[in-house]
Amino acid sequence: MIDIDRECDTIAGLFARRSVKSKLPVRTRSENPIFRRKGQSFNLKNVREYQPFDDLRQIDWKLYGRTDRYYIKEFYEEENAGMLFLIDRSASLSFFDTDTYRRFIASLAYIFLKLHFTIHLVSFSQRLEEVSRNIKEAKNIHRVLSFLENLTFTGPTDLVPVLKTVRQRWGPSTVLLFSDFFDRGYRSALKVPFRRSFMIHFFTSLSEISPGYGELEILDEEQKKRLVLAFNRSNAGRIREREERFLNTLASRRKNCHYYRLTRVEERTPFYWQILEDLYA
Amino acid sequence: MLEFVSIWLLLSLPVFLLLFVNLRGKQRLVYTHTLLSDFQDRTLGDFLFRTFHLYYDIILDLILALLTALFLSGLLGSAADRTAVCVDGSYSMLLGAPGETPLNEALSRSCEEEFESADLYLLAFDPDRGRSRLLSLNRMRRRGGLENLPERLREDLGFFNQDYSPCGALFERGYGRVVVLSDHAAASGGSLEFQTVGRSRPQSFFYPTSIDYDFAAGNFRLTFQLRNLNKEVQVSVYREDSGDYVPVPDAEISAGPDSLLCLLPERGLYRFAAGEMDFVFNLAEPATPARAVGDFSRIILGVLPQLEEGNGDLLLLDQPYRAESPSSPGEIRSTLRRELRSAGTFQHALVTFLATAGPVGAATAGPVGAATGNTAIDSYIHPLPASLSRPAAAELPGALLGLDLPGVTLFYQNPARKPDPQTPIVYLSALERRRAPAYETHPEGRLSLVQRHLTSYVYRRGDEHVAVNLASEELYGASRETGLRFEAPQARRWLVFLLLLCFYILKSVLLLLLERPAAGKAG
Repeated sequence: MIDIDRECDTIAGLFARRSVKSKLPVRTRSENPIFRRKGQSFNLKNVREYQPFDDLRQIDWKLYGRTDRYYIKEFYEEENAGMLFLIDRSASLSFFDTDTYRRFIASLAYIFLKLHFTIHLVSFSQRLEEVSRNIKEAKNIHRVLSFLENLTFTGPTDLVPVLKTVRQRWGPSTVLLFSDFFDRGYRSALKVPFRRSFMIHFFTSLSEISPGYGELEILDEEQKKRLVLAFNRSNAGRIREREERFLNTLASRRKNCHYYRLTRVEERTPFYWQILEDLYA
Repeated sequence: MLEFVSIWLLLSLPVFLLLFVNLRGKQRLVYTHTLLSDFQDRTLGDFLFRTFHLYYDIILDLILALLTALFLSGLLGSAADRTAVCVDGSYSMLLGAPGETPLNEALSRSCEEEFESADLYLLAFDPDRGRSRLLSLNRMRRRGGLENLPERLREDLGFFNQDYSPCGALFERGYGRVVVLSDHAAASGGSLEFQTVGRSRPQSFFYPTSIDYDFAAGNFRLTFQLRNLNKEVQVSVYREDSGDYVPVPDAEISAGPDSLLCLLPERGLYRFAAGEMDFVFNLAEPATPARAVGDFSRIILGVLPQLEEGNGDLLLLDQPYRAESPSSPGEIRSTLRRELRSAGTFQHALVTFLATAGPVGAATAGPVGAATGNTAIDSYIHPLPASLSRPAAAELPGALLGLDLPGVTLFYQNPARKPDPQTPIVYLSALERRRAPAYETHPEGRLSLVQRHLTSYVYRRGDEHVAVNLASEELYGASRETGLRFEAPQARRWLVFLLLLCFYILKSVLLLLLERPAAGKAG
């Protein structure tokens, strides 16, 4: 049974009271993906005169009857439907506390649902696995919980083809990627462009889970390989150095991309808040 | 050695226990290898380095145990007090009544109190290798099997020539005293300490005293010494096609009371047998390979049977000069040097001066011995052991005496008697008989045993047969070369301790560097 963090209601409540449109400057608002695109929603964006390149079907005939001139009505796209949760379910996630992992994702999904976002859940390992689309309203949180409970952590990670497939298939405006990024091609994965992405990195250092110095046999469940090494001061230093390079690469600043790193012992609430702040920034 | 192994095992036991515990209690966990690619083995060096990194403490502990065991067992450093007893395994040790041979006496002596703690070896001839080597008899002695040991050893090993040089290995192993129990009288002063046991000599034997090739007669002359030999000497030759010896029909044998002369016309592998004893000779003409430069020298090379065309140390060289004016030795010297240089490097060069014009007075103005014909000429005789020359008519003009060329023997063709019929004779040696290659004492190279008899062996080395016969000392009882000196590498105790200390410090440093717990797990 996955519990949702108690603070989520409070956080969602606080953000719900924000009048996003009024508080944001015009320029920022126009760039906000939620309100930017022209589409098929019922929110009227603009009424303008018919131009030769316009579709005849878009002509508002009532206005033509009243004014005897051709007018076109434009509406906003219903973009808040595109909050895509990409959830890594490869075997390497098992180093991290999977309960915490599931709980974090469920809590974040709950907050978004409370804020009337539509979310889609997609799990992947080396390819896309399960998909659950169009979850709306907080009352449907059970779909999220059921999806997360059914996650089995197996198989290797292959981020690049997964991200490319997601981009081609759904072209989501906002992607939340939950992964440990333990993939040899993680550098290439960072280059796959999304309009807006949030990378939530669940990281476990080897020194956190190793029982101590001595001979260490490490099994990689993804590659099904064993490695015996002397885990001593020298090798621990080398591994730490490598981990730092890995983390620095992931945390490097990229356009339209936000990076958050979670460890097993870290407090989760600030991350919810920070993600919402960045989303509305 | 057994002591060393037991000590080492005892010292290594806790190390192996620790290794076992370490392997059993190895920490295992599941984690990705994505960040551990530096530790993957790409080359053999990576694997070795990683293994050393894993087990360096075990390896160093084992080395420390090894050094300590070497030191405690006396194999390293403190073995100088130990004694090795080496029993002579030559043919003469088997002579005598059964059970009373020098070998029996030597083995009994080795069990006496004096040598009770000493290691026992037998210096025996290894028929397969064609040379003497040391065999340890310690295990047999411990098992108390020395009673039947002489018979067993006689069956398994070749009691043959004696060669004490393998005893040097005992000093290299650290023995401070090496006692040789032999039936031969030995001179003192060498590194080996000889103790004489028994002294039996064969009552009847025969032995080759000379094997020559007579170039004039074109046959091999073999002479043997006989003593109380009541059996006829059988001569046979080895036929490759049948793989066996067949009697020689045209062998001329003339036997005296104490000697035997045999004339054999053809080369080949011959066997002379009488009773248990036999000798095998691979007879071949003793031709010396030489190179000729100049027409005269080429003729000489073709005429003389002692020489054959080939790459050797000998050069025959013509040196023409103007007979009427041999007064420019400098010019001749420079010409000669140039030609010698262009001919290549030879240990010996025989140079014949050929007059190109009429007689000169230089011949009469030769060295003092020229008038008498031979004495002063001795200085021109080439120092080859198989010298070809007796330069009866050869002497140099006085003007050429100043040619000082080391390794060069000069001959002079007397222009007064041109064409000189004697000059070729100069090369036709008085030593028409030369010692022929017949057998080897210490054969070298890769050998395979073909035939084995009590006093002779035949090996095959490549395409040729190599005959190995009993040395005369075994029959004559002549004194041997026993003044051999061997240098024992004396390992010093402080060196052992220094090594131990170095390894200990190395291990401590590695432990401090790699395993320091203060470095902790914190990232």
